[in-house]
Amino acid sequence: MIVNMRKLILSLAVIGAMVGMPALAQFDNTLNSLAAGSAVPSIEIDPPFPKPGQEITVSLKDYRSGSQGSAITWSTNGKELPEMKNLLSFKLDAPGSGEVLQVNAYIANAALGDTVVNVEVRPYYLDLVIEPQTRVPEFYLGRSLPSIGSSINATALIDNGVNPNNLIYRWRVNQTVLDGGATRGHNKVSFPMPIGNDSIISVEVSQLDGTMIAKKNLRLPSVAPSILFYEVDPLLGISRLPIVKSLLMVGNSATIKAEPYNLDSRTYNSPDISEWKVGNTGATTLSGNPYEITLEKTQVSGGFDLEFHVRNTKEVLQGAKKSIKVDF
Amino acid sequence: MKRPVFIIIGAVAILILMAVWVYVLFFSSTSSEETNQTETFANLDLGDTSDPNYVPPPTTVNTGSKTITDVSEDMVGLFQLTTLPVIGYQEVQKDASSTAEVYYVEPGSGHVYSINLKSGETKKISRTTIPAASKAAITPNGKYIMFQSGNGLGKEFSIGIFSTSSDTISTGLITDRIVDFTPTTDNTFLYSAIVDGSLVGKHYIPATDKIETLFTLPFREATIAWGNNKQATHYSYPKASYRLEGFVYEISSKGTLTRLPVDGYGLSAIGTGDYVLFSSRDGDFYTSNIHQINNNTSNEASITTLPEKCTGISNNSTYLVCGAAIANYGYSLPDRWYQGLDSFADDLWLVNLDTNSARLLSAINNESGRLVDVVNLKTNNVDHVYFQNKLDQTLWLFISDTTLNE
Repeated sequence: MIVNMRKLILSLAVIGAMVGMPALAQFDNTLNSLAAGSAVPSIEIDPPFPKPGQEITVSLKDYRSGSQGSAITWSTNGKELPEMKNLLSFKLDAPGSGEVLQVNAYIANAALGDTVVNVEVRPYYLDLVIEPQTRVPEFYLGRSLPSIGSSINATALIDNGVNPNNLIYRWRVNQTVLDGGATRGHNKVSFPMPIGNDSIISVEVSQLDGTMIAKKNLRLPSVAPSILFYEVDPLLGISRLPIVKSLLMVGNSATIKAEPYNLDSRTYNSPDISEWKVGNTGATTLSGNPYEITLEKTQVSGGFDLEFHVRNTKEVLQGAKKSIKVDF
Repeated sequence: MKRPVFIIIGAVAILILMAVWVYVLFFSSTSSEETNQTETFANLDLGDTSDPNYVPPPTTVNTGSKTITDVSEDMVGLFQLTTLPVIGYQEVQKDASSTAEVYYVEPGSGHVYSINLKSGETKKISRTTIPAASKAAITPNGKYIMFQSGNGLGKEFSIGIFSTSSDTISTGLITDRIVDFTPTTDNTFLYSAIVDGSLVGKHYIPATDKIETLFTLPFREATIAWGNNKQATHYSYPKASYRLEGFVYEISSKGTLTRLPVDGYGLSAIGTGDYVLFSSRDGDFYTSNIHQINNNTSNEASITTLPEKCTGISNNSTYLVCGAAIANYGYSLPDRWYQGLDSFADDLWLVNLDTNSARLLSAINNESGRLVDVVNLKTNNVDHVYFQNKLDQTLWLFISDTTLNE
């Protein structure tokens, strides 16, 4: 009966690993612990790869029959924690980056004998720098955001002082493993933004011996490209204030620039459609820049709708359309 | 009850109401004790009906911003130095005995003007045209200038040397793919440039035309909060977005990067060597925090602002001068501010990072009657604070009656 149960647990562990649920690290660890033999007590850390200084939960997993009455003495780096005596779980802060925290549990049990279990916490900062290859105006100080189908560059930076070439990186976007699996030195990847609102990118960093030292999951936002209009002065350059709803033309002419935000850079550079409409009539730009149009008054007063449409006809979600009212 | 009875009761009620209305209109009156005026309206004696929660706005004393011709040695306060946009400026002290001047650069032409801070005289000191000039930086000794001309793929960067005998500049191109540049207190330039997939920090010495690499960041989309000179500590973070995570790296004078325990969404930062002021999204809000590097602790700052609205004071790591508004800082910052969709009516504050307190230097909006969205601040490290208004790129000066770090 016990043998059958063990097989069942092992089977569950294998299925769990195949399905691939790394985000549920605690679940994985529990399965592993059970699979490795429930008779062996262990210490579990949650989250399993904390940031430096992050609060962690330390839990003793002792599934041995008769272990309930054990006296547990906890210590960190050799120093006893009397206030944690006999607790099965407690919280403490992870050490600083690269520092080591040895957590020990001394389990005294008259029937099972005395057992010592320990775990080592060595946190690192694992930063994921996301660089969407989408377009924002030159004066925009921030980072662009991914839009569906656009390319994204991601860089993993770990502050353990080890050359990235001597580490193994395993990248995953949603359920898709990148680079064909874990690869040495590949701390940078490029991939297209999947369809959907958000995606999850994850990276696991291991030493060359296969020991995982850090792991990170990050939610990647996906936004629709958008357009804002800005007035351009031939001498003073582009205004920093967008034309939100309407523009009042004071002089005889005005130059308007359509600035797409978060549009795939490839689409921006060679759009299939880049079309201005002045009062529902197609208009051509004379400047050679498809994103800029110069308007001239033809009457003393009046108004019209000004619309700009940019799109990639092969990736139809890579596009945006916006209009404003122009009065004069 | 019969229908005529209803009609009679209704008519009587209407007549009574009309009688009351006629009495109130013509015969009732109240007198105001304060004004001793008789008012032709009924006092229905409802008591104080003013909303007890309403706080009247402070009286705005609009003195109007002064022009620079008002400046003299004993003048303090707020001055609007230009009415037209500028693309770069610098307080220039040619030598210890000379009067301080403000150099500023005109967009489009790249022409350079000088304002004498004693006499208020403005003169053009460079007629050399830099076509489509869009950004400039000038060294504090007034000898060198760096230009960006054009935008996008066609942009160019050049170094100029002011002629000592004429109102011209001799220029030479820099071929690096420059992203950002700033002058140093040592009369050199610091700039960042894209090299393959990295952003490289460089130091350019115009006197010798030498360029040296200071550091390399392993990604491109980075903002660098420059120190005052090559030896100073610089800070870097991925360009901010409220939808993406950012983190701060301290860059030592040796070029090594140290990850600080400072991260968050929409994060931007400015550092002084001992402290980092950083702002980021905090749930549905946007907050500013001060991180003390020595003891690795962070606390919410006494004022909320965008670090891009702050500048340090040379040789003093305790203070920052910041533009900040009493406003609702939404979680979608700084993106909407970068786009120009949000703007702020800033005041000028001196932030003490050690005590986590802030002292108001200038209530800009009240003093000038203008909406000023403060950017590109610089101090002369004594009592002058220069800044531009993001809304129109005009140049402003605040002169403090005390030194800034007192």
